[in-house]
Amino acid sequence: MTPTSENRDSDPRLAEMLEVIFSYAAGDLKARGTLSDDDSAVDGVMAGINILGEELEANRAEIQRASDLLRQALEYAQTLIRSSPDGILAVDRDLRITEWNLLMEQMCGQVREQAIGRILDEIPFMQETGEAARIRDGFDGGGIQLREIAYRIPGADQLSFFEFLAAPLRNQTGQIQGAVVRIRDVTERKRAEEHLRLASLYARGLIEAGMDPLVTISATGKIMDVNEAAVHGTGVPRELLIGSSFSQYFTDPDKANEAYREAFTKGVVSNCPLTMTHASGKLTEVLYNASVFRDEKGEIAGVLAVARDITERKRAEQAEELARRDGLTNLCNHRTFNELLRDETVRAQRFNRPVSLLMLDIDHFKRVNDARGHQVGDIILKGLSDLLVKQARAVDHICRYGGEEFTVILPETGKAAAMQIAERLRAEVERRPFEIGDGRTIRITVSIGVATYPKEADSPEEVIKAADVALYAAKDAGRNRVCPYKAGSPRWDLSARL
Amino acid sequence: MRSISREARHYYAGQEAAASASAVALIVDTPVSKVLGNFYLGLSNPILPSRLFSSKDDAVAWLKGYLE
Repeated sequence: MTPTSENRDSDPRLAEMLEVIFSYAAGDLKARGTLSDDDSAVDGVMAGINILGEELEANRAEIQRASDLLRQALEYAQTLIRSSPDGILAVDRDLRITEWNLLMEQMCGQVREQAIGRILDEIPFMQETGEAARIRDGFDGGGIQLREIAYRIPGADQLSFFEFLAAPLRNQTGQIQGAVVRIRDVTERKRAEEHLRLASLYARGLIEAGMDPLVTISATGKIMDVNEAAVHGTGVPRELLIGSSFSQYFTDPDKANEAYREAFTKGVVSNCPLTMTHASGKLTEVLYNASVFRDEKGEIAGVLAVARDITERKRAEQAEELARRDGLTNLCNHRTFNELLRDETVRAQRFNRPVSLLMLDIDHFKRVNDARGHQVGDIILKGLSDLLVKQARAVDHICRYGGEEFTVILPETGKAAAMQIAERLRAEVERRPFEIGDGRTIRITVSIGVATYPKEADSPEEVIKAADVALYAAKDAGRNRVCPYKAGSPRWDLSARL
Repeated sequence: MRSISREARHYYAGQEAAASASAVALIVDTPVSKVLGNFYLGLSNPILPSRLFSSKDDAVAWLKGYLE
């Protein structure tokens, strides 16, 4: 039955059915018709129309929901692209720009509305950097690789650095329909890398500029880095030094190991004496100084060790020591005796304590020299000096004054004690036979003069004179004896002897 | 049957109803029930084997084929 205006007017149910359909046509999908409970065909049609209405309404809601989700997803993606910390643009197959985000606007000075639709070559930044041509080549099968370029932005003082990464956009059949390009401003990173490189060069320069061998050592005792001085000092190439055991370059590896371990535990080691070995066998005396260095987390990363060559210093010290000692007896020589006596008299004066001086001479030494020769005379002198050193106290200073004369400075010793010491020395010399080679021995005696400062002298020179006067008194009295200086003794002119 | 809501159609066509039955036979004996039954089969795509019958006996005979 076709609904006409005639039967619509005549059949109210048909009219209602049409009203529902017209409501749907007008967009009102909630309209529903009523059923009359007469089980008629018209009721069936109305029920069908109602179901169709429900389905249409449900479908429209589904479409709306899907549309909303799609719109939200699109907005989200656009927000991501717009606010990306990198410049992002997209082009179609003809290099026509289809997307241009906020950072692209800032980098190229072109707002989105100006950029969209333009050909990529028309953007100076893309044309001058060659990126437009590169993307075009990529479309032709060349591929688009990550690359870094330097570009001076118009108006900027310095070059900026950009990292370009492009990826093809493909359609459902896999054909390239365009490309998306990410442009990252890496200027700050490049500058930081440059600063790091320069700082590293500076640090390396400092290390290499060091005159002393310098190494860094790991917790396991392996060398991690060396400077040129270390290569020179060991005679071992840098590539062999690195990774080798630190201790193997010293004559006493255990001591070297102990030193670097101490640096790890205490943080620092100062002036540890070691002997460094050169590949040629040459030995170098060094003072080892080390301290730990730390990584960026503050944890100990290793030990920085410097070995200072003290060969020259030791040589100078040895020369100085030789200048202070007598070559034959190794006792302090005349010059050193004068210095020691001056120091002791100053100390005695300051603390109001006595200091005594023994002046000792071998009796008839000229006869020994004449009869036995100077070689035997030297043996006697050496033997006597050894005996004096053995018999003296640790605080006493024994010196060879000259020829066969010896002096003994007795700090903090008064006259009586000095006399006892002198007598003990004299008696010991008399008692002991001196071996002169080939199983032969010889006996000698000594005369000793004793004087005490400040009781008997006002100065070091005076006490020497006094002891000398006493010595000659002992000689005059028959030798092999000890004589104290006595006030009023004749003062010989001894200035030439001082 | 005089009417069935969209939610009810989806319920009977879905997993929950399928878990408690083996097959569905709808007896349609009026124009309204025939329309409702046909829309149910056509639009709701029921999981269970479903069929319309005008005779109760035919419906029972068909359902017996799904008894285990």
